Amino acid sequence: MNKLGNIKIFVMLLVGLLGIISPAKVLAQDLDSSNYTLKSPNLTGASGVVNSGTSNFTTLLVVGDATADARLESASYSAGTGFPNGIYANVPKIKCLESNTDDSVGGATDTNCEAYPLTAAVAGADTIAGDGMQGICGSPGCYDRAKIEIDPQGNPIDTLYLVSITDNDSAIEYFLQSDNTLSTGYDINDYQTICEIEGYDPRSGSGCESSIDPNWDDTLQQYNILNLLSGVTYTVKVKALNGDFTESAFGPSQNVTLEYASLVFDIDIAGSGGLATDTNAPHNVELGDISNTTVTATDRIWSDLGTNVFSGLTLEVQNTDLTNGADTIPSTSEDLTVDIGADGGYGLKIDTYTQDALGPLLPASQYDTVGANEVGGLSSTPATIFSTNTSGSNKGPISGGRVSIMVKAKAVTSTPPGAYTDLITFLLTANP
Amino acid sequence: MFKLYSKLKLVVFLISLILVLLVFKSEIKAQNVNGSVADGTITVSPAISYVKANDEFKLIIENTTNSPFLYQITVSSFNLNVEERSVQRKANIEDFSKLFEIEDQNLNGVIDSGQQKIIPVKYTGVPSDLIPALIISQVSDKSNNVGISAEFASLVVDTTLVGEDRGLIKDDLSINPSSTLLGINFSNDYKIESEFKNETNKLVKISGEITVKDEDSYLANYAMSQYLLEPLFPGDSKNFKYNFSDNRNFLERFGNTTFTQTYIVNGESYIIEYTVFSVPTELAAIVFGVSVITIVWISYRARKRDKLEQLTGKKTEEVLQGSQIESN
Repeated sequence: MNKLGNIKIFVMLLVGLLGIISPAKVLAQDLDSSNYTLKSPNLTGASGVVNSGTSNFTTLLVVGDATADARLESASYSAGTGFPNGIYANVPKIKCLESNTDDSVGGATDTNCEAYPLTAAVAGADTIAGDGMQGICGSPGCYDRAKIEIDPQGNPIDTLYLVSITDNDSAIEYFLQSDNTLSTGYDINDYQTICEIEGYDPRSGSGCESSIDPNWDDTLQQYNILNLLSGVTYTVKVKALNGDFTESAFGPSQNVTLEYASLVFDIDIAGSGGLATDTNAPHNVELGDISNTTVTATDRIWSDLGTNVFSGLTLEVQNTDLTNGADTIPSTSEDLTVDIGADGGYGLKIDTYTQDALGPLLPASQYDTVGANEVGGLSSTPATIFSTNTSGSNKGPISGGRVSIMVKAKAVTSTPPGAYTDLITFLLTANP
Repeated sequence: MFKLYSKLKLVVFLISLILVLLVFKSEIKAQNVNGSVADGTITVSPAISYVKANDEFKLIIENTTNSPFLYQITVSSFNLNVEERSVQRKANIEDFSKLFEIEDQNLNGVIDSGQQKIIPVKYTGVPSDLIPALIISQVSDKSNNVGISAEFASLVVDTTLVGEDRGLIKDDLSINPSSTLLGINFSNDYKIESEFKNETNKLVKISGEITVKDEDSYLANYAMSQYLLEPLFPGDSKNFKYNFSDNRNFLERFGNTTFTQTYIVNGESYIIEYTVFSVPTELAAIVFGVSVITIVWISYRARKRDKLEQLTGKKTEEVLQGSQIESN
């Protein structure tokens, strides 16, 4: 009896110990919400690969559902009657799917997306605006990522969505993972709310309505599909899940084509007010009569600059010589008013520079001079005049870069007469 | 009559002259035209290609300006400027047949406004300290005064690693559980650190991922790609840190957990594995608890036995004493 009693005590102690220390954590325990409970996350049989790693499953049987009527299905609709059709989540749509749009919201409608992040709230309130995907990746757009916004079609804020992304070149179907990369498989953790996919959901109680909400995510508001391939067109569609056995069909699909890593450049010749002027090649700047006081050409050299290369760009300049065929006006970096060598001079001076987004454009000090007639010299060796980089908070990519450069020259009384001409060449290169 | 006819001829001639002047306008030089607000540009891609010998790619030139783009393609070599983290043009390469295969008809051309040209290119070069680039030049006459022209460089980086280069790319993977004792991991939180260092004199492009698995199942995956958009310059190093929490139940966590770093350096694959043997604290607590209980129980039993023996001994003595007294 004593022995049996001791054994009982021992077993009770052991069970008690196990009960205290065994963790009750289950993966994906946060699936429950105020609208539904996922007791054992299951997907309907028609939804594709289920990668649960266990053999447990549940079934939902429906008896007496009328399915033989041919009018219930067509190429453009599917009408379900009876249970469980009434509990399916609403089929979602894609609000926007973009990689290379370039306009602000409310502007000329190239972008259909509503949420791009601002670096700071405006007037004390969180507002959403932006310059499309070129404002995120630089001109002409993104080459390895894209942005999707989902139209929930009336589904509640905690509805889960699965995004399918098919590479049209290889015909391989991928699924958006919880880390925003792609994989050919998926599990319940890759079903995410709009807040989790987009980092923003304006609906009350979503947990990411404003920048003070914990799930507000600036990065996801810029781009939320990663690891895409340059030049490839992808077909994207979304389906919804709102509890066990409620998974909807995929909604209408949209396509997105990724850009390549690119350089964007153009030259225009116009006066000081030529910010929006577009001129055609061949391009020439007339210096007019070069005298012994500094001459500034009436027209500036205007340039459009852009790149989506992560490390940025470098714009260099070189020339042949300002010469009449026999004599050359020298070009060195100097103040032409002072003209230390008393031999005249010739060069460039940066007038203005700006960009729509990213960068900024960094002028080289050689040409971004202080004195009104201080110029940077030109030679057959390329010299950097503008660049972008990733140092500090700078961004290499740039969108809508626009610069203007003055051309100045000065002769001396000993400068031989003649028609002096030159060819200035700008070379645009990406930074590795 | 003759005078009238002459005057008539003169009038007809003058009217015809005026009509000709009105209908056929003289050409206006481009720079004298006030342009439209539309922002046309020339776009060249790829800006950089990372290739190996015999790789093919497409050079794409897109013209959205209002006028045709006259171009020619040449090749130049570039130096890597490690300090400025850029490249510098070194020299033109007149004969580039050992570097690229491009059809002659594509070396010069015109791309009309609103059009795009796709030029197939095959890289046939060998690794070198210099970086070749396709130069797309806007054809422009050196005309009156100062002519302005544009060029684009499409860099081609040869990613072939020669034997000695491989040894100069250092990699290191370390896994640090948050609590260990005598080399055994008792935690379910891990700090994963991975570092790459480029000790070659070339640009090195790295991509890859770290996976965590337990025999059959994958527990986590960390892609490095978003952190490796820039190549590593010579002398550069890159450090990655991740936190992994193993949230499985304690029975599943017992045993080996393997951390595998799979990465590609300039197109060549490498794998590093790191295995951690884990004893979950819950299991350790159970074992400890069971051990304590067992020890306590054994001690209790031993003491009870001793008492019983003592008691038995006393009784025996008493019985013996009693027998002695009786016999006496």
